[in-house]
Amino acid sequence: MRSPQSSAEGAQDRLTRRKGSAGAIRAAIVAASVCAAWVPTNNVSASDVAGPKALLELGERLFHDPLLSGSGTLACSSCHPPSLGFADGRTISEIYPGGISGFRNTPSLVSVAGQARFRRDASLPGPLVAAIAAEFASPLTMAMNAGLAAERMRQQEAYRTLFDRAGLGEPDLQAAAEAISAYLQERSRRALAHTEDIIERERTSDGGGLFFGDAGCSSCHSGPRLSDGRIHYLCAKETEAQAAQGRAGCLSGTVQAHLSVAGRIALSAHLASLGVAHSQPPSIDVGAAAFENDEEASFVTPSLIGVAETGPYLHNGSAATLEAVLLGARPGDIHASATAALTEEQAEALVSFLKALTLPQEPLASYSLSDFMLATGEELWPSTGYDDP
Amino acid sequence: MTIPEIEAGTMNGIASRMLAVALFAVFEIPEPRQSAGAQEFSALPRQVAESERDERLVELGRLLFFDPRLSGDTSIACADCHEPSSGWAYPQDLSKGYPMTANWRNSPTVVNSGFLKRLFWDGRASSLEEQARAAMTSPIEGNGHPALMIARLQEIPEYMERIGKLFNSTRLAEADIWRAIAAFERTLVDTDTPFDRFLRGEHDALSPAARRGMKVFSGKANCTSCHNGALLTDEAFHVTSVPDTGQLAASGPLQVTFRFKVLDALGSAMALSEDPGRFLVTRNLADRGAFRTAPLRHTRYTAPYMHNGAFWTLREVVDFYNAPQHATGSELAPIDLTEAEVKDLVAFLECLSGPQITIERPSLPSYRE
Repeated sequence: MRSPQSSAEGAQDRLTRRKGSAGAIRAAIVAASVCAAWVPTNNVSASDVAGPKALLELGERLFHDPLLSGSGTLACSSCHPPSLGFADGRTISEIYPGGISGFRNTPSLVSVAGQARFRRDASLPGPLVAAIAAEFASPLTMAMNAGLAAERMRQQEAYRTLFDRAGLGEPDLQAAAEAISAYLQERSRRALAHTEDIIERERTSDGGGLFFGDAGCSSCHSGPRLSDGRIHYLCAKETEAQAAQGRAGCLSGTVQAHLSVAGRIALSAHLASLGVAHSQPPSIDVGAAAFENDEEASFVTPSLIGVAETGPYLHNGSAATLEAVLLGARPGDIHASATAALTEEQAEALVSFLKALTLPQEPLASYSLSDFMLATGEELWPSTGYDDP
Repeated sequence: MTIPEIEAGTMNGIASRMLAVALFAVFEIPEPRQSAGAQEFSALPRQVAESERDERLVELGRLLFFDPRLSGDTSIACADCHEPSSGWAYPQDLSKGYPMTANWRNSPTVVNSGFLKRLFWDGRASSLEEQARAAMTSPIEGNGHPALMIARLQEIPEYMERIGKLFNSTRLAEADIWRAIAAFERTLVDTDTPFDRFLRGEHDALSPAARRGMKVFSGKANCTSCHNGALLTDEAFHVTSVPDTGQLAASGPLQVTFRFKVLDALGSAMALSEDPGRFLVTRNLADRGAFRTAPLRHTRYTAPYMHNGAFWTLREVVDFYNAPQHATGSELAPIDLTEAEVKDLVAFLECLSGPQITIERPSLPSYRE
C-alpha cells in the first residue's frame, strides 16, 4: 500500500478508517491513497476519485509500474524518477536489461508539455501519448508487448477500478499511455509555471540579462520551455571514462567520444529501428546527423526547465555540472563559443541564473513491488467479461 | 555421446526408408491416415538440403542455440527451455517463461524435430526455422527483437567471422540466425533405439515384454491410430482431454499468458478454463482442445508429458489412455488393459529411446572490446 512519504501517517489513518467503512473496496482505498499522494493538502474522500483526478492518479501509478516492461524490472520511473527531475542522474542511461548501459544521457521529462518531438535526436514524433506508446514497444527501453501489457493490467484489480474511474474503460496499453501522458503533462505544467515565476524574477539579474542578451543562450534556449525544439550542431566532449577508451575523429574538427560495446549495440539497434542503414556498427553518436540530410544536425536543444536538478548534462552526460557545460567546453563546442567572450564574473552570474531554475516541490509517491502483483482470484479468472466464441 | 553426425544413411536415404517399410510390415496399422500404402511412409524421411549439411552452419547454430544474447534481456537461450540434460526438453510441467511471465505449455524435445512438418503443440509452425523465430521473439519466451539481436551479434567478432565465411557477407541477415539454429537442431536425432534395431532385424533388441507391449501398442490399445508412421505420429490434431493440472487456477502470470495468447491469436476474448490448442490456429470449433500427436522417440528423457505436462512417467500416460476422462469431445474410450498389458506397453515405450544425447555446453564468443 503506498502513501505519500510526506504524510505517510495521515494516509495510513485514512486507509484504516476507510477499510472499516461499508462497501469500500480495496481498489478504492488504493486509489484514494494515490490521490492523497497527488494532492496531499486536500482532505480526500473516495468520491473524489473520478474524472481528471483519477486519470492523474492512474498515470502516476502506471509511471511507477515495472510490470509494464517485458521483463517486469523497469518502470518509466526507473529512468525518469520524479525525485531527480524526471531524469536519472546517470551519465549514460541504463537501457532495457541485457546491456549494461545505453548510449545517451536520459533526458528529463519535466517539461514535456508543449514538446513536439522526443529523444535527444528528435527521432520520435509526438504527441506525447504516441511517444510513450513507442517507448513501451522499443526493445531498448521497455520491450513490452502491448497485448501482454493489457492482460497484466487487467490482472490487477486496482487497475480495473482505476481505469474505469478515469473513464478509460478496460485497461490497455494505449489507455495507459494516455494516463501517463496526462500525469506528465500536469507535472510539466506546474514546473513550467514555477519556472515562469523564476524567470520573471531573474530576468533583470546579471545572469538572466546575459542569458537573454549578450551571451546569446536564448537564441536556442528560447520560449517557455527554454528550448526552440530544433536540432543544432553540438559536439560534446567525451567523459574521462570514454576518453580512456580512445578518441574518435572529430565531427567538423571537434572531439567526439567512442561508444562502449553496449552503446554501439544500442545505437545500432536504434538506427535500425529508424530504417537507417549502416555498413559498420556506428562507434560514435552523431545524433540526428545519422538520418538527416544535414551533416551539421546533431542534437535537439534540451529544455532548461529544472536544469539545476537534472544533471549530468549533454547528450552523452559528459558534463557533470552546469559549470562544466559552459566553462569546461572545448573549442568547437557550441557552448564554448557562446561563453568565450564572457568574463569570469559574467560566467558565474550566468551559472547562478541557471542554478535558480529549480523545480517546484512536489510530494513523492512511494510504491513498493508488492503494489504490482499479478494476483489470482475469482473476479479475475475466469473473467465474466469474456465471451465464448 | 556426442552429436550424431549427419550421414547420408541417417536421414536421407535407404536406412530410413527401410525403417519405414519395416515398420509398415510389422505394424498392422488399422487406418493409415491416408490410404496411400507403403509409399506414404517412404516419403517421410526428409532430404537433407545442401546448406543443412554444411558443418559450418551447424557449428554456428550450435553456438546460437546456447546463446542467450538472442533474447530480449539476454537471459534465455534456446537451450534453456530445451535442456540437453533433460532430453532437450524442459523438466517441468510448463516450459520456462521469460522473466515475470509464465509459459503456458510443456516444452517439446528438439530431438528428431527435424523430421516433423508441424512444430509446436498446436502445429502453428511448419519448419524449425519458423519455430525458432517464433519462440525467441515471443513475449512470453525469448522476447527477442531481431534488430537488437543483429546489433548484438554484429559486435561479436567470432560470429561475424563465421557469417563471413558462410555467406560471403559482412552483414548478418536475420534469417541466417534461424537457418543456423535449425541446421544444428536437425543433427539431434535418435534413430538408433532398441525399437529401430529390432525393426532392422535385430530380434533380441526388444525384450519379450517389450515385444508383447508392441503388440498391445498396435493391437488392443490401438495407439497406432494416432502414433503411426516412421515417427510414431500422424502429425494430426486430436482431443484427448488430458486432465487439468490446476496450474491455471493458481497462477496470476499464467492467467495473463492464457488471455494474451487467445487475444493474440483470435483478436477477441473467450472464456477459458483450458488450453484451446489447435483452435487458436484454425478457429474451427472442432479443433478446440486438440493437440498434435507427439512423436514417441526419446521420450524416456523428456518427462513430464502432454501439452500441459500433466504426467510425469510413461506409466501415468498409459494409465490415462487406459482409463481416460469422460469429457465432451474426447476421442478416447476406455481400453481395459490388464496390469500385465500395461506393464508390457510401458516396457515397449521405454524401448523407443536410444542413448541419451548430451553435448558439452559450448563456450560462447565474446563481444569485441
